[in-house]
Amino acid sequence: MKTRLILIITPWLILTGMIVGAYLPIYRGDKYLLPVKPRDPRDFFRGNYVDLQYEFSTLPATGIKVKLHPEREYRFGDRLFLEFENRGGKLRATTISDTDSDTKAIRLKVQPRYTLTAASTNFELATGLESFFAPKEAAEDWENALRNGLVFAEVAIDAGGNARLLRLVKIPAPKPAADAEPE
Amino acid sequence: MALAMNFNKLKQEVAAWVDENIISAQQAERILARYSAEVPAYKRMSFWLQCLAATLAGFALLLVISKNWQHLNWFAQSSITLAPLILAQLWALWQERKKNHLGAELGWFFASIALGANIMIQAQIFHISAYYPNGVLFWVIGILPVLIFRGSHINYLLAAVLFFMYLIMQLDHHQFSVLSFLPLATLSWFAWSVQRVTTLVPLIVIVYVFLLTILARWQMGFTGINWELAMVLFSVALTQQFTRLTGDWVRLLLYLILGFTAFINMLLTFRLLAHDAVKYSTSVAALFMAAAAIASIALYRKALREPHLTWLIVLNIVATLASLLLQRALPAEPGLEGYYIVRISANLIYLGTVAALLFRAIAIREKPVFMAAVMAFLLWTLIRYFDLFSNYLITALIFALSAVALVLLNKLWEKKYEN
Repeated sequence: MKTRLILIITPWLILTGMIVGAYLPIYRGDKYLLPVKPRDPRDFFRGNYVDLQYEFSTLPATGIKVKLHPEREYRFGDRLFLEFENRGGKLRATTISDTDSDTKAIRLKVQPRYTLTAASTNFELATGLESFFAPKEAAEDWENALRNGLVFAEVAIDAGGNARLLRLVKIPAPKPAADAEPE
Repeated sequence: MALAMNFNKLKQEVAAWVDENIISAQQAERILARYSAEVPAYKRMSFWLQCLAATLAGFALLLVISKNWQHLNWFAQSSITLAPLILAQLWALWQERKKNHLGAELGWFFASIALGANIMIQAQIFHISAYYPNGVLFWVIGILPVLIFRGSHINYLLAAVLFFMYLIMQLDHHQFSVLSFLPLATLSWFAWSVQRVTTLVPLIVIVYVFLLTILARWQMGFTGINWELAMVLFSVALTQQFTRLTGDWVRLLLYLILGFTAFINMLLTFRLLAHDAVKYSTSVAALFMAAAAIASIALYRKALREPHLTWLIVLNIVATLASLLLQRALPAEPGLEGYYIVRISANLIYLGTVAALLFRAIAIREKPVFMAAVMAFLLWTLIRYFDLFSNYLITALIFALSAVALVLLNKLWEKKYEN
């Protein structure tokens, strides 16, 4: 009887753990819109998805604070933190560090896409928010949407830096104003 | 007595012998009593066909997920894959109550596939990154209780395939998870307790990739072809430890291992590959693994099965490794590296192995082995011909000497075997 219970329960425990882990950032986190560029490959187990590139996926070192160990090479799998400031609802990366700080800034857990060092001029980063699973037709629609305007990803980020991708949002590109300040 | 034979066919034959008055009815009963009517489930064609059907049904489930029913809510989407999991588990329990082990094993097998489908649909719903090795790892871990408590062979194979996929994903990104020790330990324990060729071969492959992920994660350097040679020795040592494996399978596995070793010998006759092998010839991990495997073989030398074949593989690899280290110790001037020590040694080791196999085949009167060795010799001649394509005199000499060797071999075979 005990072994039967283990046989039955184990898959359910794994599924429950997975669902809770996946849902926690949505439950605890705040929601933001991030601009993205999509394309559509296919996963063997899960079908078509849109591969998303965020502004911070390739982040120039200029303009952000780099708090990385000067002699260390960071590789895929190493946890880093990207801090953002919220400027009128738009998130802008401000700091990259290898330690979790207690600041109230919005921070996101990231990892190097390949390798990087403190001296890198560009940081290639991955967050785990890069795949948006959608039916094939919808994935193609997102590509078209990109040609006509901006596509934003709605993500939930909790205080620990865990994030989950919620949905993609189509928002028309704002017309450039003549007196707009250069960004 | 449980022998690997078709009991039903024997039953028909015995009935025919009784009808033709070759044996009496009592004798027929005594003959049939010698053999068990119980054929293990894994030897039944129907078992494998049903497993195949369950696999196809599992693929169908994954394809249903791939359709991505985004317009449905979370519960409706989840139910698409939860329902098959619940049904499979209930089916397996019901079959266990009916003492139908085959049906129960199939039920657990499909439940294992359905678990994977459930993991993947949740990963799809929550848009978890396409690179998601943990999903496959959780899947494998979810299957492990079926191995532990039900000793399910087919679930072992499924877990081994999935764990291999997981390790390859990790290897691609130079990642390693401590959790992966759990599947490795369980799969090793299962393979050890069952000791069949279908458990040993997946285990060898898994250990090979598992160790590669460790080497890659901690950047222990490139190991070159030495690592493959060391793993060949490890495979021989492990095969020898599986004492309940039938003699036929041990022999077949050792011949396959010898064939792979000879293939490496052949590769090392080429400059580019010899260069790579010499470059990484001092890989500590590879040398340590080789030494441990040889020590194990030497320690159990009295209990070795197919000792000639085993020592032939060991000698081949030791000689190859020695030639690599010798070449490294005697570096040529930059730009003039021909790696002749390794390349000439590889040719000699290959031919020496073929010769040893030929004489062994003659001694034990094994015609298939003899012919395989002759083919291996001809293959060497052919490869040297293409390698030295424009060198007419040398290739002519190789062909002439090969012809003489074949005539001598024929004489030897006739003298020792045909007469």
